[in-house]
Amino acid sequence: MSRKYLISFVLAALVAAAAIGVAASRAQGSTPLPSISPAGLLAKVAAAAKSPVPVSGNVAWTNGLIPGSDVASLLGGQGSAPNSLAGLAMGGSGRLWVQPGDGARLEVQGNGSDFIVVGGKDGIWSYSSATGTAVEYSHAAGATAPSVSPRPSAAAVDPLAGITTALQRFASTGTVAVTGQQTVAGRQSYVLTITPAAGATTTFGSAQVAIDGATYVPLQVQVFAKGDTTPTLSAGFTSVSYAKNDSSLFSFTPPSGATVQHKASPSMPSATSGGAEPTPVKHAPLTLAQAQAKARSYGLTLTVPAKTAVLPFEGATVTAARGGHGASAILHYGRGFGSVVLVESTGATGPSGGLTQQLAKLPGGLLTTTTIGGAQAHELSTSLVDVIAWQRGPVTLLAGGMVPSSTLQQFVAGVR
Amino acid sequence: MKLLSRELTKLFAQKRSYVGWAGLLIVPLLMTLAIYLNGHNPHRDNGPGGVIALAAHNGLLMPVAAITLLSAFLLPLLASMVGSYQLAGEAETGTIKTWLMHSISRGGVLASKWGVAVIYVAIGLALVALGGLVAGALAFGLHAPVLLSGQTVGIGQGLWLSLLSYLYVFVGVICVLSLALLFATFTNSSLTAAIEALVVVIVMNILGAFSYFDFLKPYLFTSHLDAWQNLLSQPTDWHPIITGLTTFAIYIVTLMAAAWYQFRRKDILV
Repeated sequence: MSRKYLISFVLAALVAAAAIGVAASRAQGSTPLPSISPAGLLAKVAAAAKSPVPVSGNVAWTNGLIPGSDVASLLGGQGSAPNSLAGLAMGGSGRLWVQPGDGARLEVQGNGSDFIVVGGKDGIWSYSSATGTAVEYSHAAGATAPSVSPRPSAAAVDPLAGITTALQRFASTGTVAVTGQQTVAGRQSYVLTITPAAGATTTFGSAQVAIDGATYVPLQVQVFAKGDTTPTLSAGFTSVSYAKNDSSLFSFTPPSGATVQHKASPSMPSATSGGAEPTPVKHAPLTLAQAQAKARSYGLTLTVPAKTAVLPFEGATVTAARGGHGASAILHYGRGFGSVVLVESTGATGPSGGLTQQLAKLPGGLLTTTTIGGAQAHELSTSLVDVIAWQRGPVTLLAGGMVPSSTLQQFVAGVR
Repeated sequence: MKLLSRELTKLFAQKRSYVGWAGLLIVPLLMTLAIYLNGHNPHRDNGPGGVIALAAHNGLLMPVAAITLLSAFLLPLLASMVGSYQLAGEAETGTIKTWLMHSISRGGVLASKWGVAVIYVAIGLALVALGGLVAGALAFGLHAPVLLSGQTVGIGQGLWLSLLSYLYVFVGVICVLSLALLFATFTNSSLTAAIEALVVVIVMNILGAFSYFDFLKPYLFTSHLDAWQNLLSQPTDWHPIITGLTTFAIYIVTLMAAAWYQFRRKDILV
């Protein structure tokens, strides 16, 4: 009989241990945080970003922009890790380490294989154990001397710094509010909600950023399209730690037997922050006349919207042809979330030409072909972002923004 | 203990024990041969990738590569066979009746049956590991292994991680074995019990394969079976491993408690 009691005791102990475990994990971080103003919170986030702390943990991200994401992951096999940066954009989960001074590391685990991205003193690398391929990313396409080409800084792959920068930038173009508190990754966090300014014509509904109430590190970002209750884009920690990690985690040496490739740095924002918006303009923007003159000196004749266009011109940057890329110009129209970016470039390898090729690779159904102003154009329309690409003589044009398709088509029709 | 040693004698006297072990041993040998020949084939494909691809450069990783293939089907199959045969097999031949007429506790009989099945699986796993290591060493040599996360560790560390992986899979397979033993207390046919256990494992695997049933995943022991692969990504995330071991422990204790309850009150009529 005593054995029966022993087993009952063991079972009761197991149930009790499980209950205590659940209760302990719920109890963590349940104390409400003091209330804070949106400006105060943004200032705290900016201050925390100036003296960053090591952050690591499990992360998960989703991408609802392209409805085929689920299908693609199904075709890729259950639980298999992606083996390229492009594969990351579809959504997934993994582990992230960010350490000031050392760099950042992302690891996506699949069934029997890992995909890692490391940015640190050895440059930016990705490694897929499924294919045994290590890829080094460098700024210029220095195929002849990869070791001499400048290495992108580790900050380029730090998603947290990217989110903090984007947060401050977007906050200035919309309405910011602290809409509550929530436990994210076991941490009591403030929820900062950014909504577009009233009257803006945009598909952007809101962005909700969960900010750790103690460390002011952004732990989760959710982007909602207008009228949607489920986020179109989301990325965040499911568990987080602020403990320092070994520096060796951020260095990378291709293992013996691996195939080593060198590639020009891809457009990082789309890969690391889940499709963040246009690259920030570093130089003082040019006026329209300056941009046209500069582009002409590079052999690029700009076609710009007529004065009656829907959105006012805001500024431009023009870059010369280099490293196999044609000359290109980026023109900004409108302010805030309803703004539209127009990219014009020569040569198929220019930024917009490259993107057109990327668009052409998308599965059928996503891309529609329309005729705008007598020219054939390709349009990619999602709930959040709309992109139209078309060709005018030697120049490839690409317009995009978080605007409804009709607004973008109207804008494109005005480009003459 | 006396019961257990008697059971072991029986185990080593049975031909089917050796058939199962031979089956387990042949897998790492075939795998090594296939990878070796593929490496020398000018039209070679990339293979299944992952651990298996890493093993193509390093015999040290052959044991863990073998376990990725085995843990899906052959190991659960053998575990349910051995788990169910221990009890129901004796019922089939009628020997259990003679056994239980002696003044021995039924709990002791059940424990010795469970123990001998566990030892059987342990020997099987040891054979896979040694077979893989020897074949891998002959074909590719032993080098400092590259982990899934791209780091290279020492040979000692590699062997240690392989051992931990095997111990984890071992505990997972004991779940299947305990399940088969529980079913064996309900029936007098060892084949029925083995098939029942295997059906449960396959159903659990299917439930785990569809994202709709994701909410069930933490409670299915089968969805934790691959968590040992976390050992091959440094720094090791121990959380899924501990969760897996806890789940296995709860399954084993519950299944064996149920088996004990059923076996104690079972009428032996054969």
